[in-house]
This record gives sequence, structure tokens and C-alpha cells, in this order.
Amino acid sequence: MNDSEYELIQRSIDGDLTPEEKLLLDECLRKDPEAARLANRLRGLTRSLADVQRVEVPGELKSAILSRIAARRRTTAVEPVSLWDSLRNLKRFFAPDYGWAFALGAVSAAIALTLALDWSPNTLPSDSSQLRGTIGLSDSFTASVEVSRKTISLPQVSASLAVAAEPGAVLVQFQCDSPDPVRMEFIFDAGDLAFASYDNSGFGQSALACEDNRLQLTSTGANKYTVRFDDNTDQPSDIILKIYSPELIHQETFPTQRKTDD
Amino acid sequence: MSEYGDQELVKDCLNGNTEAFGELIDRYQKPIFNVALRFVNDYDEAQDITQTTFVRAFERLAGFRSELKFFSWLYRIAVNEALNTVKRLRTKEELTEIAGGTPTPEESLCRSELETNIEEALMELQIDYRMAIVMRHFADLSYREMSFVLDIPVKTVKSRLFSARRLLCDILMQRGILAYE
Repeated sequence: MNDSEYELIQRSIDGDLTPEEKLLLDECLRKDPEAARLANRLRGLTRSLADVQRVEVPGELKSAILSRIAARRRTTAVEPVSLWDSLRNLKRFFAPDYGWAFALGAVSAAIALTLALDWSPNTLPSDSSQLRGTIGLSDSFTASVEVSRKTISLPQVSASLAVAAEPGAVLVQFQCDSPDPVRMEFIFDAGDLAFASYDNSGFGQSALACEDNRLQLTSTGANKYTVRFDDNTDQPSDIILKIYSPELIHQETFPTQRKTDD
Repeated sequence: MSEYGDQELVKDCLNGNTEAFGELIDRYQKPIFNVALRFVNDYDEAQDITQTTFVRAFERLAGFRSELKFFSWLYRIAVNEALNTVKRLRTKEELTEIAGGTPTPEESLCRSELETNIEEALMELQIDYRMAIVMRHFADLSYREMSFVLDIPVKTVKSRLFSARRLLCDILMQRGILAYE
């Protein structure tokens, strides 16, 4: 018996043969008693398995599932970031028409970054809500600062993330709230970034591992992180965020491109 | 709501209609429960796997890709949960011990001698083989669907299924459930 006969037998069991293939298999089985025996056994097995009754589900199963879902939703109540509106307002305020405001750019950026740490309760923006703005552009500064900000709304993870690149450093600030362990992976696809410091002001559990261009954080409960990377090059470095819980449930790229003014 | 397709129910659910998720539970709790039951051969564990599967599905619904079939996606979660359960139970011996315990009234009502033999024979198979048999014969998945659910190539699905069937035949023949000829 060769592989193609095995394949035909298997597919005949699964009702997957064309009429031509069925004729071919019949011919094979006539010539090969061993193959015919195997085919008979497998058909017998299929009949036996088909005779096994499907078990009725317990009557309370559905209500138990819905109760668990309701309980989980209560414990994963979202606590998004108040920075959202602040950044939007700042961006409008520092529009090019207001040239005098450019001088305050650095101060604004500092305020914005400080606000990023203030995670006050608010209404969660929609899943796709996103703001990218350039803050603090000024002729008097040697570099601009670009902030990429995103609130990620996943049913089991409340994650808010702000990425800011400034001369010599990249800051990643985010919060995560999930009763189950959530693994987040930050990958830097370019540049020369080195992990510098890490702070968790939340009250959950977390573990951090960093190697080469990859930072891995496992978070359980409510955590608020600030991670700082030293950056010794002028290359732009996109940050790829992957969230696993336990499989990959979200992936997104955050640009941290900087412009150096002459 | 029963005339709704799965995709519409998922969409409704994402729009905040939890009743739509209840409809999805109605549709798939029985097949998921039966798959779990054949996999772990324990009524309580099967209930727990089913519950966790739906809770996980609800939590991950926003990540569900509409080009997938909902039930394939659900089975994939169920397989992972079942594997986690098996890991937790650690060894085949522990599972066999559970299987040999006193059946619940519900189990007693549902079991025939054939079913008992098949359940026990399934538990003698390696996990991968058992899962292949369960997915094909109890979940009625196609090769392609099994490929997605088990996260293996179609070619591997076929070879694994073939090996699993032959091994199960041997076990059932030894038990006198299947004829040698």
C-alpha cells in the first residue's frame, strides 16, 4: 500500500472523493486485501464514533457563562487617560499662527509628558481613537518633540500608551489593567536604543525583561509604567507593540520620528 | 434573532448588545462542551472549559477577524483551554483516574458501553491524536478548519488523523469493539 492509497482511503472515510477517485480506490481495494481490511476497519471506526451520542449541556451553563462575563467586565473597568483632551487642546493652541507660542514649546512638551502620568478616570474614547501631534516646534530648539498617543481598547485589557521621543531618549508611558497576565512586547525596529530605567506606579504585579531591541513586560492587575530608553543616534525608531493574552491579540506600530532643526 | 449569521451577532455584540452573545452561546455551547468532554473525559472539567472558552471569546471579540468562521475561531480557543486543562491535570494517569471515578447522574444517563469504551480508548491516545479524532468526528471540522483550529498544516492534519484513526482502531479491536476483518 502506498501513500496515495492511504490518502484515498482517508478521504473516502471523510467523504472527500470525486467519482473518478472513488473508482480508483475501489480498484485498489480489489487488488490489495491489506488495504481493503484497513479501509473496512476505518469505516467501522467512523460508524462507531458516529454512534456516540452528543451529551446535552447542563441547563445552567449559559447563565454561568454570562455571570462570569459580567463579573469580568466589572473587574476590568477601564480607567483611561485624561491626557487625550489636553494634547488636542495643546496642538490647537500651538498652531503655526501663534508664533509667540513656539517659545513655550519645550514647556508644553514637559507639561504634556507630566500629564501623561496623571491617569484620571474619564470616558473611554472609541477603539480607533488616536492622536499624533507635534508639540513644541521652535526655531530656538535643536530638536522637535513628537508625541504619539494611543488608547487601546480591548475587552480584557485597558491599555493606554504614550510614546515621546526627545533628544537622547525615548519615553514610553502606559497603563494596563487586566485580571489575567498580559504580556506586552515592545520592539524597536531601528535606532540604537538602550533600556535606561523603569518605573511602575501601579498596584498590580509585573515582570520586565529587556534584551537587544526588545522589551517584554508581563502585567497582572492595574499597572502604570514609565520606561525610558537612552537613544544615542538620530535615526527614527518605530516602536512595535504586541499584546499577548495569552495569544497575540493586538499589534500596532508607534512612530517616534524626530526632526533635528538646523 | 436566530436568522442572524454569526458575523452579524458578533457585530451586534461589539456594539454592546450582550443578548447577541447569548445567542452565540446557544448555538455553540453544545458542540464546544462535547468536544471538551471527549478531550478530557470529565464532566466538570468539560463544563469549565466550555465556560472559559466563551468568556475568553467574549473578551477577545474585538480581535476576531471577520474573514474567519466564528465557530472555527471558537474551537481554537476551546482547544487551547482544553490543552491548558490537560497540562494542569498533568498526566494521563490523573485523567484516567478521573475517568474511572464515579460517574455523575448526567454521565450515567448518557453513557452506553460503546461510548464508555470509545471514551477510554480516546484517553489512551496521545493528546495530538485525540484532538485530531475529536475535531474530525465530534466537531465535524474539515481538514482546512482543523488546520486553523489546531494550528498545523493541512498535510499534517491528514497524516495525524490517519495515524490517530489507525491507533484508535487497534485499541478498539483489542477491546472487542471493532472486528479485525
